[in-house]
This record gives sequence, C-alpha cells and structure tokens, in this order.
Amino acid sequence: MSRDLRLFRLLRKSLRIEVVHLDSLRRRLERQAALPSALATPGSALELPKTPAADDLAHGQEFSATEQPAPEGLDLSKLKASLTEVDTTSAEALSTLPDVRELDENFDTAFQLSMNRGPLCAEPVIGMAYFFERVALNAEDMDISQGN
Amino acid sequence: MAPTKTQGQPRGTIQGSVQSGLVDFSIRAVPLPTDVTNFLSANMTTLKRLHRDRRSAATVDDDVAAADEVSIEGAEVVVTPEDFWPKLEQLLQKAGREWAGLADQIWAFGPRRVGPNMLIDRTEGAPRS
Repeated sequence: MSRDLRLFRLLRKSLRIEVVHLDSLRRRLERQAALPSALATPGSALELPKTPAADDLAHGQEFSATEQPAPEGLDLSKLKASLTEVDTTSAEALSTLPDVRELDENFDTAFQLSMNRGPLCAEPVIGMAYFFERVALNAEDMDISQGN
Repeated sequence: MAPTKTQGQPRGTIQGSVQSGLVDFSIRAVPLPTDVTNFLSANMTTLKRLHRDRRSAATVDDDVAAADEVSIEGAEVVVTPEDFWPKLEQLLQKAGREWAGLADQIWAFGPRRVGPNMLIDRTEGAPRS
C-alpha cells in the first residue's frame, strides 16, 4: 500500500461527491433554475477528512513503539485492528472497478477545449455533434498502486 | 468517398484509449444539421443565461457584453431561456430520425459551454451532465 494508492482513494472519494448531481444538462439546468443556490456550496470536496496513514501497518507499529504510552482507555491492539480493517476495505475498494463517472469532468473539459481550438488551425469548431458512445475502465489490467 | 477510419464502424467513429488501456472509449463525430447550428449560434446568449441562472443569480453585469453577441445570424430567432429546450427539441425532431429525442441526452455545448457544437451522451446507464 503506497502513498499513491491512498491519494487515489482520496481522489475517488472527492470525485464521488462531484458525481452526485449528475443528470442530463437540460434537467440539471431546469432544476437549478428553480433552485438557484444549489451549486453555491460545492466546497465539500475539499473538506474531506484526511484519513490517517492507516494503510501502513508497519507505520502503526512504529508509532506505537515510539509514542508515549497510550492514555487510559485507548487499547492499542484495538486501534491496530481498526487500522488493518481500513486497510482491507481499501484493498477491496481498489479491486473493484472505479466508477467511469469519475472521468466525466475530464471528458467535458476535453470537449470544451477541442471545440475551442479546432484541428486545422486552432479555429473554433462550428456545427459538430459528438456522440459519446462507449467508455470502459479496465482497471484490473493496471497496477494502480504503481502510479503509472 | 474515402473508407471510414475505423473499420466496421459508422463514419466518424474514433476508438481511443488512454493511459495504456486503462480507459478506452468510442466517440462518433457527425455534422450538426444546419438549422440546429444556426439556432445554437443565435442563442448563445440564451444558453449563457441558462448557465448563469444555474450559478446562482450573482450580480449580472455582463448583460451588455452578452448583447453584443446577439444576432450574428440575423435571420435566426432568438428565444427566451424558457423556450430554449422546447425549440431545440423541435428542431432536432425536424432534422430527422437520427436526431429526434436527443435533447435530453445532451451532455454539454461547446466551446465555453454555449457554442454551436454538442456532446451527446449515448452510453448506457443513467444520463450524464
């Protein structure tokens, strides 16, 4: 379990928050016309509680060895167990496919950019429709923890 | 006509893949019907207004700037924000079978979210933004 992996998980979490209000552009615009301040509070993505370095059991042991004795009531073994628990869940989450939805923003941005600067001489594109027909994530082929 | 770039797919199809196969996708580019293009160019301001409503009605002082962009296509009707989607739907309906009913699948307009091009979501599953 590496730092990359944790970052990836955090990223996924924050992205999932964005993904919540996905809908057709039309319906979204209509809904938001009725509720003008619906998008005014998007900050939640940045306020994600930073999970402690829970992935690394070795880290935990290091801490337990170096830190002062735990205050009464705090059971170190229990803490360790909870840390490993987090570890396994994260591994599970990684083995499942990440949601394709997390890429929506990227596709949208790519579309906006490519429409702004066309293929011939960076001209604005006029009168094209792009049918987004299929997208698939093949995460199992990749070793995401390698960060490549 | 030249053969299609991707064998066995409709004209304009591109099958791409990024991050050495992590994500692969298929996109088909088709020219928009002229009516729709004109309608979209004429109604950039309308679209902008629709988007602006969405971003909470903050102080709107670029109405003047927006007014400059109106009526580049003099002949085209500029509709009110309320009429935008029904009118677009109607134009798409008129444009033929391939276009009918696409209004609800539009993901985005571009460039700058208001231009005369559209990205249409044809993937399975729930609709996209």
